[in-house]
Amino acid sequence: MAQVILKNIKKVYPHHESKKKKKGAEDKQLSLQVTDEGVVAVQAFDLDIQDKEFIVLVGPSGCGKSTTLRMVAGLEDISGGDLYIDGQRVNDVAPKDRDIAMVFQNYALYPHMSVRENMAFPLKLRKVAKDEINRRVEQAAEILGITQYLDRKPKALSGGQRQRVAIGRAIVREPKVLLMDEPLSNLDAKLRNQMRAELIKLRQRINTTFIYVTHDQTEAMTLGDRIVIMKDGVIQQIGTPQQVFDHPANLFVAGFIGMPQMNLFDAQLVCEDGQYAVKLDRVQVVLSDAKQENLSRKQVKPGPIILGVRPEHLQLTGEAEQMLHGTVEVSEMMGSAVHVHLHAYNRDTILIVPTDKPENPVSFPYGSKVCFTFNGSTAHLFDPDTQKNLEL
Amino acid sequence: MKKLFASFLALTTAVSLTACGGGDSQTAQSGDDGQGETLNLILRAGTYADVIKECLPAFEEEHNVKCEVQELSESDLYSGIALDAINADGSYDLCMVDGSWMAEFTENGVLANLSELGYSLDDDIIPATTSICYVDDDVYLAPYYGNVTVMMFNKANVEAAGYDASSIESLDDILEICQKAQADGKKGFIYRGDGQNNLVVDFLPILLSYGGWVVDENNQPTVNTEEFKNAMNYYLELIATGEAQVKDDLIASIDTGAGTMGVGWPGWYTPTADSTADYIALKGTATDSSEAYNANVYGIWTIGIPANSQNKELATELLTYLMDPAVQKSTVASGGVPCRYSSLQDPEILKTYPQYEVVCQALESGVYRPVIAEWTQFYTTLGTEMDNIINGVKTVDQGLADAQSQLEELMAG
Amino acid sequence: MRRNKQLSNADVQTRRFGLSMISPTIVVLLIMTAYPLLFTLFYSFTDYNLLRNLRQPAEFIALKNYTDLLTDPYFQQSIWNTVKFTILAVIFEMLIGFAVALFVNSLRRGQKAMRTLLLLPYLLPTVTVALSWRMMLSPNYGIVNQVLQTLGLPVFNWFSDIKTAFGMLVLIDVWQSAPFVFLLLYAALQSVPQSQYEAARIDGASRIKILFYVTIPNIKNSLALCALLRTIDSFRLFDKVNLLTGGGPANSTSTITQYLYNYGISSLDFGFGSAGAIVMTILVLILSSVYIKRAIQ
Repeated sequence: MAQVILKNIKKVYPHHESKKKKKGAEDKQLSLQVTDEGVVAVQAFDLDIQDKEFIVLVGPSGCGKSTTLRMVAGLEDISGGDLYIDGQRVNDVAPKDRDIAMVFQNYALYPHMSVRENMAFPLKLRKVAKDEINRRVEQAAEILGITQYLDRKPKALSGGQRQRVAIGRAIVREPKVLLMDEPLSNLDAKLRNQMRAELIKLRQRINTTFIYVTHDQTEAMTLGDRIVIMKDGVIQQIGTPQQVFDHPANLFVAGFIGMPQMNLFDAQLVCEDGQYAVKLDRVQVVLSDAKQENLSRKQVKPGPIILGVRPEHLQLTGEAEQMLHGTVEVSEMMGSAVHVHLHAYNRDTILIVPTDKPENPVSFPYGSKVCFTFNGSTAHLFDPDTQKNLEL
Repeated sequence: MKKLFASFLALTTAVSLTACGGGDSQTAQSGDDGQGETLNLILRAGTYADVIKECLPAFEEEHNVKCEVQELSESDLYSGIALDAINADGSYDLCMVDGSWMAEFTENGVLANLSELGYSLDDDIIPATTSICYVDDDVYLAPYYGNVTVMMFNKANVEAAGYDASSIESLDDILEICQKAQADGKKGFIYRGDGQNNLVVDFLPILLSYGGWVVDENNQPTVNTEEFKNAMNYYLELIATGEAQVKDDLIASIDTGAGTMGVGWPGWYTPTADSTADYIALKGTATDSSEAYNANVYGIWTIGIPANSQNKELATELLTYLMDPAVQKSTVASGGVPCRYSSLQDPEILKTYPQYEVVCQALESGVYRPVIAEWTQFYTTLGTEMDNIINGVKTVDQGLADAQSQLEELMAG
Repeated sequence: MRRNKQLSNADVQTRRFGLSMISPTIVVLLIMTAYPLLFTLFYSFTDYNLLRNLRQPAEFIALKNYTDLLTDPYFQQSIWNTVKFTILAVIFEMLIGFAVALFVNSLRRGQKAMRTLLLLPYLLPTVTVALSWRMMLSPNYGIVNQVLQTLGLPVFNWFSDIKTAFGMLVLIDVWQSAPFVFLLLYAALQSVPQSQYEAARIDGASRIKILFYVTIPNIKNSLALCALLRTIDSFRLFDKVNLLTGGGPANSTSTITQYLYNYGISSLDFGFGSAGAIVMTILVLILSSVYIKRAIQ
């Protein structure tokens, strides 16, 4: 059983310490809490990771995801809270005794050792028998497709190959938890997509608990069983990819998950005849039954709200008075669809128009007027003050 | 455009380099205008240069010249004179020369012939000190500072051994004193072990007392003789009572009483009535009953004029002035040791500096180091072998045999 | 056709420009390095003596200087002394410098201050260092002997005792040069990626294993460079030997340069000295050829 429980984990960097910190943490745009003790990088982090679950920690630079990962690894001291691996409290246990393995962003391979020696190193240190070492190394190499590189040195390998070696070095240990710190960030875009697919395949062959850190929401969505979205050291939402996509807990999550970003409008929530509806300009849309239930259960009062509609959910309509409208700024031809950037209601809005429907126009000249609308099941409602989702 | 600039740079660099080298005609330009000439002196640093410097102001005023003095260590002085000797126009007008360099310098024409310039040595100078000043009948050097080896000792330690300055007769006495001091927990005999020259020079008085010498009358090496071996064996016994130290430490040791005796030079130490140390001239006897030899080695500092000096007439006047009996006597107060009877036997002077009687005796019966052009290589070779013997790397027989064969080769070639 | 001509013109121009840019350097090298070297080589085949040359010109004696030199047991001893000294000095300097670099690198605070302080011995002029140590080790008023005496430990006549003179030279040179090693290796240590250390920690390596499997392999090049530079420098040791022991006692501290100074320079036998200089140059070239070959590759 390799359950990982993080209970109220906190990380504070004391003021006088000027140790070498990771580059991301010194971002000046951070609005991390600063107390008397120091800068609070991570706070109130609660997460129960099930055995063999693939958890992704995702968020912008400096949100504390890597710090959390490093605390699980034991590379950073835990300032407050408890960490349990497999039922045992490991706050003060050294990294090598936690039965974890880690894959680093810059691979951290030992440059003077061959691939085989790199992968065998952790096993050699644990005094594993020689043939067992060979067996595991060769098995891992076969899984990762690097058998032909076993006798090469890291400098003779490409980035993607090095990354696989790093993963190999981690999996030969057969650890309880496999930690990955932005492993794909150093690869070029095409390779990244390829490796993502490989990781999903790998997951099927290696059955262990994964904790994966990334800033890329696509990776998070495709890889994770559950995603943990973080900002400024605080967890914003925990859920499956579908959950966070369909029901973002706040504006930040709504804007972070989904590509292109969700469109936001200043609208009104009205209640007529016991039915909640969203009013924006001349358009008033009655919300779906599910949403009605959620809103009435929470006794949400009508008033100003922030309306969020994903670009793929905005519907292009013909020119009509009772539709929403905006002026075209940019139009991007993506092949199967056109991404139209509008300026509407003082906001930048993106509309996705599929090109395979003959009734849809394909050219959107600058300055031309476009009309669109939304429907009641794909509208997301957020409180303008708390920024939280009104339904949750 | 860039090419032009690059070639200009290259040219400038080359030209600037050539400008660095042209030193020949630049040095002694000063003084040709007759007004305020400059004389350049190159001297041995220490008392030797200090006493000369004191005499200069009067000369400068009378002759309207400026005297620039360079003070150097012994080896630097030697190379300073030698290196300048190869220039057509010399930088120096008066140089201080150690007697042992004289052969090499005169053989190679480094010094100007003082007789031709009108200088001659008078009778007041102690005759024994003038032998190295002549080549045939011409004078090349004037004996300025009467440096001669003396035996320094610490008064208290010597008294504790039951002796005083006048009762130290033979080398055996010296050994006894040093052994007693060692038994008392102090160091006995201190010698200079740094460098071949010092090793040899400190040993020569001992060698002389045993009737030995480094060369015979034909300047062939005699380091393998019975007398040399006896002297060497004695010396080993003597230095076993003490240790090797550099000059400054040696003087300090004897002064403080940490050490007892050592070979020294008058210029190192000026004894007074209440100083803790004093010096005597060696009597030249090995044991109480053996023959007495001349055992004090000269280290006389002479002055001469480089052959390539550009101011020979003025330099000769300076030399004459410095060697003047009255001027020399005036240097005694600051530690000068003239080679003149008029200075060393003057009753006034003896009242304040009684040890000058000792020095005068030593100067009268002193021995020069061999006057051979190869002296530098000679003492280097001999000193190296003595070093080996002293440090136990070779036995006395082996070391001296090696020295003899090497020196024979040297003197033959 | 015209195009080709233009291209070749540009080519020639570039080459000419390159040549003219390095011509100042070539001039300097020729005058400052090549010329003296050839001069020295020429004189090594003669019996040139500075003063004797005034009356008698130097004679060509072919290889006699070299045979005299190489058959002289004192020269052979000085080569052995130099090799002994170089090996000992480099080993100690590397060990101490490396240890100090590791220590300073692991400090949380005050790294800059330590760095400056530790570098001081290297910045001092050699003569100052030699004379200061001579004073401290003086048998009369030296502080070292005084401290040893109060502690009841044996005292020595450090520079005149054949047992200790060599060791003292090694000590003083190591004292002065270990900071250089420290600085070079400290800089190299800073460039070791932190993540490799972390990976090793997670893999289960102890501190010693991390030292041998992560730290040292990553700074291998700097270690080699350091060793080479110190070897070349130690080989040419002169000023400390000359100031402190003059080559004695009994030739036990005489390095090659000290030997040449005694027999070639102070006796003004420049022909002989030149031969020694050539021999020494060849030895140093052999020492550094290994590294140069690797660097060219």
